[in-house]
Amino acid sequence: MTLAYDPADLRLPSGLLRLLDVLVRLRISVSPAWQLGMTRPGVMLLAVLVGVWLAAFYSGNNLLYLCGAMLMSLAIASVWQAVRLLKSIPFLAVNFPEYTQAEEAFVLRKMLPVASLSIGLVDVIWHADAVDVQLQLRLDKSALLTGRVLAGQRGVFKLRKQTLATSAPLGLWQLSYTRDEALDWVVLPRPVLWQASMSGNVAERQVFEGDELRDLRGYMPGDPISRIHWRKAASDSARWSVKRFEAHENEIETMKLRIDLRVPGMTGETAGAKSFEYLLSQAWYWVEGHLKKDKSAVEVVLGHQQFELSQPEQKQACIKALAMAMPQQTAPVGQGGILLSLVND
Amino acid sequence: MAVVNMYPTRLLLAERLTLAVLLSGVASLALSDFVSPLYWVMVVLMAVVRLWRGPLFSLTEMQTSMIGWAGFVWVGLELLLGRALVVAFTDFLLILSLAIVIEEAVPRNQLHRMLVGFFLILGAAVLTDSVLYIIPLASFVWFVWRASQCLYGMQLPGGDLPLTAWRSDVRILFGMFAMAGLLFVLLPRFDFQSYLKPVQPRMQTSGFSSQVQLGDFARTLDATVVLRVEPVGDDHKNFRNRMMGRYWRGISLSTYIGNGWKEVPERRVSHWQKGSEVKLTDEAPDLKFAVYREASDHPYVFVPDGLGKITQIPAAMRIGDQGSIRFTSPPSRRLRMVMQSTGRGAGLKHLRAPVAQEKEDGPVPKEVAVWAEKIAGDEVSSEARLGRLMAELKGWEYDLNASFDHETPIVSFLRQKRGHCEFYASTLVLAARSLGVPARVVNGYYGGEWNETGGFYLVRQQHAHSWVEVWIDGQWQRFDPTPASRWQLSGVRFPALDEVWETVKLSWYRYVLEFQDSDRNQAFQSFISLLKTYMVWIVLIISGVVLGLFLKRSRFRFPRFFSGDLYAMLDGWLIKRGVNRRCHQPLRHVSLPKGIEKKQWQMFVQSWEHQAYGEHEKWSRWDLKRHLRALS
Repeated sequence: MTLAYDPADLRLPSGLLRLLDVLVRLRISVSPAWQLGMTRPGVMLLAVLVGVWLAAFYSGNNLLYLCGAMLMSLAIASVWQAVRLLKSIPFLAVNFPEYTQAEEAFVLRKMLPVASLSIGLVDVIWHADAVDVQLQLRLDKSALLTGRVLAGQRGVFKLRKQTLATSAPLGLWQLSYTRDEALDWVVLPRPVLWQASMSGNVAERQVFEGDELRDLRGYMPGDPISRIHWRKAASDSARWSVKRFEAHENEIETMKLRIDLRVPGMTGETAGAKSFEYLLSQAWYWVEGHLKKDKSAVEVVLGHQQFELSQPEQKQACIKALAMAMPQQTAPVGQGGILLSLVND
Repeated sequence: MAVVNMYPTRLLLAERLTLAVLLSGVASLALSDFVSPLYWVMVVLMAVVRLWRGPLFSLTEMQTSMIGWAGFVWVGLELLLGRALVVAFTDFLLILSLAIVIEEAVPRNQLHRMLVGFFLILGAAVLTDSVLYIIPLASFVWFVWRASQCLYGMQLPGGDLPLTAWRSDVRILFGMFAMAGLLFVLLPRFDFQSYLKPVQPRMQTSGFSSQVQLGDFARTLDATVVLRVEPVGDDHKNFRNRMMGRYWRGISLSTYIGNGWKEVPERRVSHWQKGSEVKLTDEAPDLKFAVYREASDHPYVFVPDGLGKITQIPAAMRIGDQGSIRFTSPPSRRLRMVMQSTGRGAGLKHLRAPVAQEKEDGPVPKEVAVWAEKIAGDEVSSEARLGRLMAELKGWEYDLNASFDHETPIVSFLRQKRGHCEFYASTLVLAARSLGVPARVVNGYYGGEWNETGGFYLVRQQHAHSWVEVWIDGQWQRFDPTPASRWQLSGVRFPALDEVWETVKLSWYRYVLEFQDSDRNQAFQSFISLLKTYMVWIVLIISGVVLGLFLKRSRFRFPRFFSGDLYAMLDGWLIKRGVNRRCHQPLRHVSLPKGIEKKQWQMFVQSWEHQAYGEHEKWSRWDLKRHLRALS
């Protein structure tokens, strides 16, 4: 049962409803940051207000003036409350995931420490050059930020402007507030399970062949069936998880991955680009596997850049570099470790 | 439980809130005397049952629309029977309210209630001018706020949003009312048409028509207010003294018809249009006051002694040569008139000389003539003879309920020697005429009561009075033969409470119903003069607030003269004695300052640590200074 109070419920003529829709689409720029629009009930209230004021002006009846002033103050107070509501929302960058993976939705659900002024829903739209992030903030006694963050491709997206929009508290006005909140949204490639030759897949061997359960991660095609967490899969058949194990201390050695960013023959063409993306997906799979390891010294060489994952700053830089990686002409620096390369030297 | 299972809890909450919105509208209309109580009582009863039984007590939309259509037909009939359009419209709205109170709890029902509630509030703005109107209006706004919050939460995906506590609305409501007050004052006033002005039922009176039956007038102690008179200006004390005990002249009745009086047709009538200024004398008026005249069934304007002029009359008037001022038709609402008066009694000079009806002694009963001759005795002057008659009459008993013979009322009054003012006045007029002095009866009001709380005069229905005007020495002179005991009677039950309530009502009339552009200008000028008077203080306060805010924002800290960071002071003292304490280095680890004995220093350090980290009282700068002086 819907409990809306949309004027459409009054069975208004369709022409009038279309006119309402036209008015609802209107947006008035109050300032560069603020825009004001109306909802259908808001249009109705405005029409009523106009009627009351005309009657008041025509007759000079001070009680009609009082009614008009009361209703007008109600409308202004609801706008004012909405302004305060939007201004009270803290910067949200800190709640944004450190990184997401391409073509994989990240479900954001976080409680914010905000003392809410009013109940209401706030749409949060974060604008980037290529893609917008749409979140929703639900305010009652607490503030809950929810949303689905999804990008189609890898990269670092510069989120600069953020638009907060709400029709709270009375559902009469659609108020939107655009503010500057810069954030680099790091989108990594979707990890690809890779079957390295040489010493086998060292990383995978570590996580799948250890003694102690380390954590779970989402199932990916190619994972051994024996490692699927079947008990968890029974409760949530839509998401399978794979168990990962900790290797013995003595087995942990200095791990090194060298990624050769050279693409043979061409750069930027379709076939080469696909291979390059696949290479990065493999690299990310390896890096992700080691991100939570504090004990081992893991080194990643990405073209001519070198990162030590145990260092938080370098870890961040590595993730960002992977997301932004472009084909290079030169071979990766250093020697040893596992080499991921598209080039047969 | 069945209710909860059938309907979501949120709907029940919205249901009550929208019902409250609707009932606020019904309550506002219930204040109107034009609305039959039957209509709104039915709505309230249905609302109570609905609240008790919940949405289970409901009719389908089809059934309720049938009630609505029946109401439409009924109101059509009402219109045919002569009911006013606005009243018929509100009757229809109330029938509609009855239907939607018990309508099926569907989303449309919520919207119906809010819209009808709104129209009821608007209807009441035309059909009542009661000060109590502010209560349903304020509650309407509050419930609309809460109901919209609730329904808004339901409209969007956040349908399970809980309502905020009602206490959280207090601030926003206060802000809304303040803003509404500001808008009310600031917005310009126009007055193109008075059709939608608030109306009030016309007060039923007797004695203010062209023909009056003796014995009907001024017989009850009715506390209903007829006039409210407030000073225009600040001279309240002077106003009170000068307005006390004034006669408010209404209609003069000249032709005696045996059992009553009849007005003489006016020979010369001057007409005055709305907004014009009526000037009655050439004397310069020196007392300005505003009179609020309640709507009544007669068109007469009551004017006090010595009326000089009426400025900006609120409706068209005509003034006859016998001194009666009347509107062209009885006004349907309260009117405010600003009057200016001169000295008491000056207002009668402009009235015309007596006409034949005021002189003729033909209809005077024989018993009255005999009585007059007997009482007047051998006095020569008319004034002295009338004085004796009046003195005789004043000695009789005042009785509101005295019985009399309807055929010969004056004769029965003479026999009983008791009655009310109408008999006293009529007897004196007839007696004067029998003695050859032209005279007539005047009906109006006398005196009134001073409201100390509000600083204004009230004239009630119980102050209705008859007196006599006699033509002596070329002008009309007033004689009042009614015994003074008349004015000790009052029908007001709770005087103290009534005084406060009347003050509230006059404030409502003055500052809400009669608010005009000129009032805003006056308020603005008062505000400016207030600013000028207290400019220095205002500037000081604003500067202080601004400075305080600036300091707060810049996180400024006042120098701590008496407490606070003593380390800085101590370090300064140590440096002078060759010790450079590192940051966070405990005092016990610093080397011995030059010129200080070790034992003394150790005691000092111990005292320092006790006050800094222990349970001893914290040192102030003065304490530290004292300890350091002791060390040196």
